[in-house]
Amino acid sequence: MKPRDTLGQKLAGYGISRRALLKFAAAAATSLALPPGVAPAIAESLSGARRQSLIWLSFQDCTGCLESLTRSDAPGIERLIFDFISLDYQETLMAAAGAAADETLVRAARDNHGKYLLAIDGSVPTAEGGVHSMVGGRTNMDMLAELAEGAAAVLAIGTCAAYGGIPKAAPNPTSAVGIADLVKEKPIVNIPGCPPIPEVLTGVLVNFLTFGRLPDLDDLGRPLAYFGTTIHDQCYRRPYYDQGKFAHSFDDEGARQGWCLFELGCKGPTTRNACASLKWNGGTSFPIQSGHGCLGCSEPDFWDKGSFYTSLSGGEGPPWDAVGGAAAVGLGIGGAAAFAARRSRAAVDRQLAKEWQRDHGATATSKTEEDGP
Amino acid sequence: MDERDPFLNALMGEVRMLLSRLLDDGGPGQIDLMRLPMPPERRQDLQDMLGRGEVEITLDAAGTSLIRETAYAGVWWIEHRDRGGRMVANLIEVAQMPAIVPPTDEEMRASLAALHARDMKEAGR
Repeated sequence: MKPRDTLGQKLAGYGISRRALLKFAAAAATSLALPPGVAPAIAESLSGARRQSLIWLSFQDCTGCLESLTRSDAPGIERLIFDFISLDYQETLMAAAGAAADETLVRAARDNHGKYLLAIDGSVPTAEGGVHSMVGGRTNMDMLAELAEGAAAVLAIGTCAAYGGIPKAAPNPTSAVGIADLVKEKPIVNIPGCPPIPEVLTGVLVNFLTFGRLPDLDDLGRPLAYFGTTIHDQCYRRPYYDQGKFAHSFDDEGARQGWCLFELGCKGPTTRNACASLKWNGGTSFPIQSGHGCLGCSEPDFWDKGSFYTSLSGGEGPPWDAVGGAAAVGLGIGGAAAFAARRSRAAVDRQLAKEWQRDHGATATSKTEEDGP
Repeated sequence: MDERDPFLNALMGEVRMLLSRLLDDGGPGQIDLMRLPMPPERRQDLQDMLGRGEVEITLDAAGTSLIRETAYAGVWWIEHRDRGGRMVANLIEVAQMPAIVPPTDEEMRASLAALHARDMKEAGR
């Protein structure tokens, strides 16, 4: 492809028709909560745009985010996004290695200086000068500082990049932090989730290519179109919560009836994400639909907010015999975890109060502090 | 079919408003059903309310799409699916013909050029 070709010309060369592009635009408009009437405008903007350079760095991560975004059992229409971008550097996917890979990175950053999007999965270790995660002899901290400087914007993909995630969990031996803790001079979009939902990245890229700017964000830097409401508010089991119908164990009558999982520790009420609407695995299901509560993985410090099986209202969650098999195997570890979970109860209360205040304004502060959530 | 569902009655009111506008100024309108609280039962109720017309189009572009006229002329039920069969958009479009169906002038000019080229090739044989 000649570098100056538009996406429309390139897509036509690949046999992707105007109608296929219109379908993609209709799906993108739905995903971004835009009026469906803007789909033709999205398609026209995309077909006239140049390919967007994307440099993707993987720091202190498990590669689960990349797996989520690139693996699919069927080529969904959202995969067309890979025709709209030029993925100029991604260590796991690229064929080049060693010095050739380093040269690719330098060239991509130089040729697209000020224009490329910098995507990062994984947190950044800062302890001892950042030596706990290095690529080609350079610390993640150094790479981030250098490449963020030349980026148009930074996409923090996954909870680790957004907020530190699992590496930041107590006791955080590498002093891991999220991207926004280190990058202050560039716009940043957080796309949290462990892993994140692929369609959210697609939506952010479509928004950037179509409107030339990043989408509107919430106070935690997440796209409002996807993180504007809680899982709880979108959950198909919500009517059971309102009716007071709860499962009390994973194999009781309530569980069989598909009642609300709140008392089994579901973090849906304090978690903002689009799992309940976009779902996973080609729209097949999401954790609550599969019978397990939400873990709250798209929220900061989700790993340190107490047991996944302790209810947000302070109950002890499911009977421990339901999960006791695993706990019994490693009594020492399990005991420590259980102790930590109970000790973290105060942290849960603080988080609930914070969420409540965010939703109801500062005037509610005194009530929340006095009465609890 | 639940005629008493106030949500569906409101939705049908919006369809009526869009059709009225189409007749007034020719402007098409769309309703995005995937962004509305539409569990399968309610979706089926809506389909039953709208009924089926005489035209049904299958579009094969990056997956199959169903474009079906409802019992109300000018009101179309559209389901876009990807290659895996997953629905990626579900719309009600109020228009003489959904915008995705008719070819553009540019596409028809390209077809004309291709037909000319074919004739030239045949003439050269």
